[in-house]
Amino acid sequence: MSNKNSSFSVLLNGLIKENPTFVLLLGMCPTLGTTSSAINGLSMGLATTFVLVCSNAVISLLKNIIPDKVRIPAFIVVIATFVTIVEMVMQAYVPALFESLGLFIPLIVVNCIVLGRAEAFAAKNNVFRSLLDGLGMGLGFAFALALLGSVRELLGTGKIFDFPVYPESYGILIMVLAPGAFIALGYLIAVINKLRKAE
Amino acid sequence: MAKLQSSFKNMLLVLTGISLFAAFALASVYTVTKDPIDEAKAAKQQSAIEQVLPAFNSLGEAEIVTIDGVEMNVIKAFDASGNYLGAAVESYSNNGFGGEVRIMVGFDKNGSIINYSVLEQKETPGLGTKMVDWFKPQVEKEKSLIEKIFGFKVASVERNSSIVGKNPGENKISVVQDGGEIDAMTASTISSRAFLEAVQYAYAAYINDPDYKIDTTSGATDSSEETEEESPLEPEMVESAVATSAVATSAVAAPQATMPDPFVTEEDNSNGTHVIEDTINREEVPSPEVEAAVEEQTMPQPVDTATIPQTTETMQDGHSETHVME
Repeated sequence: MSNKNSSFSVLLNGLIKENPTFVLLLGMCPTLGTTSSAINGLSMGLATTFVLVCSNAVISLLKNIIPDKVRIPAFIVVIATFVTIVEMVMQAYVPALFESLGLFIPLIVVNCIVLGRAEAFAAKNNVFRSLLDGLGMGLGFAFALALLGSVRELLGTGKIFDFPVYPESYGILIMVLAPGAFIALGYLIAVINKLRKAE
Repeated sequence: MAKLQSSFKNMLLVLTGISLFAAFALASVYTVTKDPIDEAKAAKQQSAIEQVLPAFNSLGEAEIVTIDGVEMNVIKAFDASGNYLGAAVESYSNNGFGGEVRIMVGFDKNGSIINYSVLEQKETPGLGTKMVDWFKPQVEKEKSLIEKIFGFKVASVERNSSIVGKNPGENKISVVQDGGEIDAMTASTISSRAFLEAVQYAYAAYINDPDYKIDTTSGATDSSEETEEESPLEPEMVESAVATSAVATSAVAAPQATMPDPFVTEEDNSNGTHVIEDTINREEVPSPEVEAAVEEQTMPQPVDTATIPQTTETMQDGHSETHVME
């Protein structure tokens, strides 16, 4: 099980085969809420990745001393600690980003991906594999959010990562608003499903 | 290693241990980041002051000026020889679409606006957030990829939305829809109103005159005074507006519609209708004419005093059209 090949497949698992956004459909709240631009989506994804990696590692480390009946509260405390650390660090060193993500950073605590991976993977596997799983899942989430953010930003404002592609006045405003998130996500899931079936 | 049993003692010990460890970790991170967080906030205010004022040598102490319960900071600037240059005013409005809008406005010694900076806002991304540079003079933007490749120029729409260089004492700093001279942000009339209201408060604080007339024309929240003013006008407005819309829609609706419904007028006075109406405005407000037309068709009653003349005009047009049709 724990040879080099399977470690790599653990990492890839979250990126493609079980991509949290496009395949597992977990963590939809930040997915829809923070992807009004590519940079916002990517930053949210990376913040979640950090939390996911740290919490997976710590939970995997503590899995044997946490009694079964209190495992969920114990996991939540660990996750919330890392989220608060991310929040404070962001506020201190990247205040502009903190302002645009604002409310969604504390909400990483209740992101189903983080608790889901803690419960489904980290509580059953060793530290190294849990770390890889957290990294893979997190990057998969970040990739999905960046992709969704890019599509919405391009269609809505004519830019990608603030780089102008076509004049802003031709943008489809609704793509930047909440309904645009649902529309873009729906089409992206359809495309990804088609690609996965073709493989 | 075997898993710990879920005995009461184990559970208590483990959870307490984890929580204590978490508390320790958080406390240390808090201590480390506390200063940078405060510095970042101070730096933001400092850079906002520098942005809205001409080059200055020293700043005065922040004075707190309260106008109509709005508490504002006025920071005066002086040059090297101690001459008064102007002041930066930190002001806010709670009537934004997403809550508070906090801005910093710089005035020169004559009261003209030098520049502004948005400190805090929670407006809709892509719509109200445009306030960050909408009210500044239009600048030539970076060429887009399509323009670079195909070389065709897309004419930008001329708008009269800059407040820079205007003096709120002489110019009417409110949106065109309210009889002012500033073009509101497309599809964000409420955000525009909140922003310009904050600018007017800033000016009132700058001249320190509580009597300076501020147009608080937020359609969403505070409309009780306006509706009272409107009420004598309303019955005929309702009648004519409903008549026009009846012609516009269908003959079936006509018998009902020509009867002025008392409930319609009452409903219009409630805040709920105003909110809905403003949402409609936000979605399609390319020009005052179109807005008036939208209002005429969907909600026949006027929003506030400023839109009445426009609405009446279009209605008269509607009537003349009706005559032609007949």
